[in-house]
Amino acid sequence: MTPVEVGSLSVLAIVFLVYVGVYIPVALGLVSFVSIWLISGKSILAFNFLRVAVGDGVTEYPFATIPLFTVMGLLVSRAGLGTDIYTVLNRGFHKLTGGVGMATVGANAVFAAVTGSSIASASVFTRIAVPEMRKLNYDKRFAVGVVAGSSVLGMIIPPSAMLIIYSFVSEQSVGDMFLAGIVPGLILTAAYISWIFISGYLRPSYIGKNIDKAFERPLSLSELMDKTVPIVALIMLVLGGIYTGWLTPVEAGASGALFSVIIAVLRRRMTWRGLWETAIETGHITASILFLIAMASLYSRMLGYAGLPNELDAFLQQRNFGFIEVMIIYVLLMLFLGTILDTASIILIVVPLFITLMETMGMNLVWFGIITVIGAEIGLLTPPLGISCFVIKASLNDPEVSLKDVFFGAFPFAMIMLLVLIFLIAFPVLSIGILS
Amino acid sequence: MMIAISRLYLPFIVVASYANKIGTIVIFFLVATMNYDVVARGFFHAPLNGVVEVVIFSLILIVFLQLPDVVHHNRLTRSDGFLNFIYTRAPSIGDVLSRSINAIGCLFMGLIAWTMWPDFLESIESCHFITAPEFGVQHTGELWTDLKVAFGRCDYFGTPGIFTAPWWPAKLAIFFSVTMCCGIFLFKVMLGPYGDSAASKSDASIAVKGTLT
Repeated sequence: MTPVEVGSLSVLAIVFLVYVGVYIPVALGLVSFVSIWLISGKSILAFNFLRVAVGDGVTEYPFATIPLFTVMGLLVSRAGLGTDIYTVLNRGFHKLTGGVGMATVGANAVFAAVTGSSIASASVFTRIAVPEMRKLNYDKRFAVGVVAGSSVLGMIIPPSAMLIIYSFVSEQSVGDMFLAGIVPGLILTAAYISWIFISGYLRPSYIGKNIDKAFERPLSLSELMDKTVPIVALIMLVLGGIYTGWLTPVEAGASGALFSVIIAVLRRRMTWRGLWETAIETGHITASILFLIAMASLYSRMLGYAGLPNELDAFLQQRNFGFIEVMIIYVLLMLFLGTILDTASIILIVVPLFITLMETMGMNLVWFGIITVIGAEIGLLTPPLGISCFVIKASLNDPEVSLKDVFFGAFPFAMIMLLVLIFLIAFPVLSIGILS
Repeated sequence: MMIAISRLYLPFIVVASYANKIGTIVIFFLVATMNYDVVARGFFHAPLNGVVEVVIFSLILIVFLQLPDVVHHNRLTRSDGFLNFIYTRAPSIGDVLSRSINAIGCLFMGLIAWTMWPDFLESIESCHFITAPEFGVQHTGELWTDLKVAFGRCDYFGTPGIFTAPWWPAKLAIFFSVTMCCGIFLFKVMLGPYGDSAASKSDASIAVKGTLT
C-alpha cells in the first residue's frame, strides 16, 4: 500500500472506531501508531512519534486556557449568573409574542460570553426557561427548540472550548480566535431573535396557542444592578483584557476564574465542598480534553507523514475546484460527520486534512476556524447524535417532551445556523474584520 | 472469582482517586500562580519569573494525575450513541463490544507505558543520583550535598538563569498515569464496564458527552 492509501484508510478507520464507541483519543492514537508503523515499515519510528505525542503533547502554554476557562464556566453556573441575566432579559421581552424565547436566546448569548460550553448553557436554560414557557402555554417543541438552538451560542461566542481546540490544531492564536468569534456569535443571536419575532407575527401557532403573558413585577434598580453588574464586569475583564492586549488568554482565564470564585462567595453560593467539586470536575474535563488533543497531534503528524493533506490539495486542484466547490464539499462533509461524531472529533479529524488546502488557496485560517466550529456545531442539533438535544432531554425530566420533540424543535434553529454559516463563508470580513 | 477481582481493583481506584486529588490541588495552584503574576506584573511591574514553565509543568501534572480517575469514571471522551443503542437492543452484544473497547484502551495505554519507561529512566539517570557522573562535581559521600548537586545535573526544561525544573518528575507522572490507566482498563475488561459500583451507568452516558460540548 502507498502511504496515501494507508493515510486514507486510517481516516476511515478512525471514523468507524469512534462511531462504534472506542474512546476518541485511543482511536486517534492507536490508528495513527499502526499507520506510521505500516508506512515506515519500522516500529521504532511509530514508538518515537507516540513518545513525542504523549511526552510533549500537553506542554504548550496556551493549553492552560482549557482548565482555566472550564473552572470559570462551572463557577459562574454555580453562582447563578445564567439565571440572573435570563430574569433581566425576560422583563425586557415579556410583552412580545415569543418573548420568553427571545429572552432565552439573549440570555444564552450573554451567558456564552462567560462559559465555553454548550452543555452548561443547555442544562442551565432547560431548567429555568423550559418550565416557564410550558407554564405560559408555549408549544413544547418551540420551548425545547429555543433552548437547544441557543445553547450552541456557548461554543461560538468566546470563550469557547471549540475555538480553543481549533486554535491548537491549526496553530492559530487563541486570542485571535476568541475575537473572531464575537461578531458571528452576535449575528447568530440576532438571526434567532428575528426568527422568533417574525414567527410571532406570521405563524403564532408555531410558538404556541393561547399564550399567557406573565405579569412581571419590574425590577428595582438595585435588583437590576445586582443581576447585571457581576456578569458585565466579568465579560469586560476577560474579553476586554484579551482585546486590549493587557491579558493573554491564559491570564484572562485565570483572572476570570478568581473573579468568579469571588462572585460566588459574595453571593453565598459557594461552599468549600462546592469549590472542591468544581475543581475535580475541571480536572476530569481538562485531562480528557488535553489527552485528546495530544493524540490528535499524533494523528495530524501521521497525516502529514503519509502526505495526505498535500494529496487532497493536489486532487482538488487537478479537478479545478474553486473556492465555492471546496466550501460546498467541506460543509457537506461536516454536516455528514455531524450526524455521527461529536463536535470536537469533527474538528480534530477534519481540520488537519483541509488546512494545507486552505493555506494554498490563500484563505485566512482564523476565518476557516469560525466556519469549522459553526459547521461542526450544527451536528449538535441534528439526529441521531445531537448532543445538545440529549442533554436537554436528560435535564428536563418531563415525560411529555420526547427526544423527537427536542429534535423537531431544534430543526428550524439548525437551518438558521446553516444560513448564517453560508453568510459567514460569503463575507469573511464579518469574522476577521475585528482583528485588523 | 468476580469478587476477588473486584478486591484487586480497589487499590487501583484508591490510588487513582488520590492522584486525582493531588491533580486538583495543582489546579488551585495554577489559578493562584497566574493571578499572582497578573497582579504583580500589572500593578507592581514585577512579573513572576518562569511562569510559563510553571504553567506547562502544572499542565502535565493535572492531565496525567487525573487521567486514571477519568478512565475509572468512564469519562474519557467517546461518542457512545451507537453503543447505548446496542445496549438497549442487545445487552449481551453491547457488553462484548464494551469490553472489547476497553481491551483496545488497555492495549494502547500499555503501548504508551512501554515507550515512556525508557524515557523516564533516561531522565532520572541524567541526574546521576547513584552512578558517578562523567564530568563535573563528583559524589562526596555526604547525602544532602550530593542530592543537591544531583538535582542540578538533571535534564531540565525551562530557560537557564530564569527558571528550570528537572524533567524526571514529569516523566514519572506520565509513566505512572498510563500504567494505571492500562491496569484500570484491564479490570474493566474483566469486570465489565459497569461492574464496579463507583462508575454508574448514568454518569457514563450523560457526563461523558458533556466533557466536550
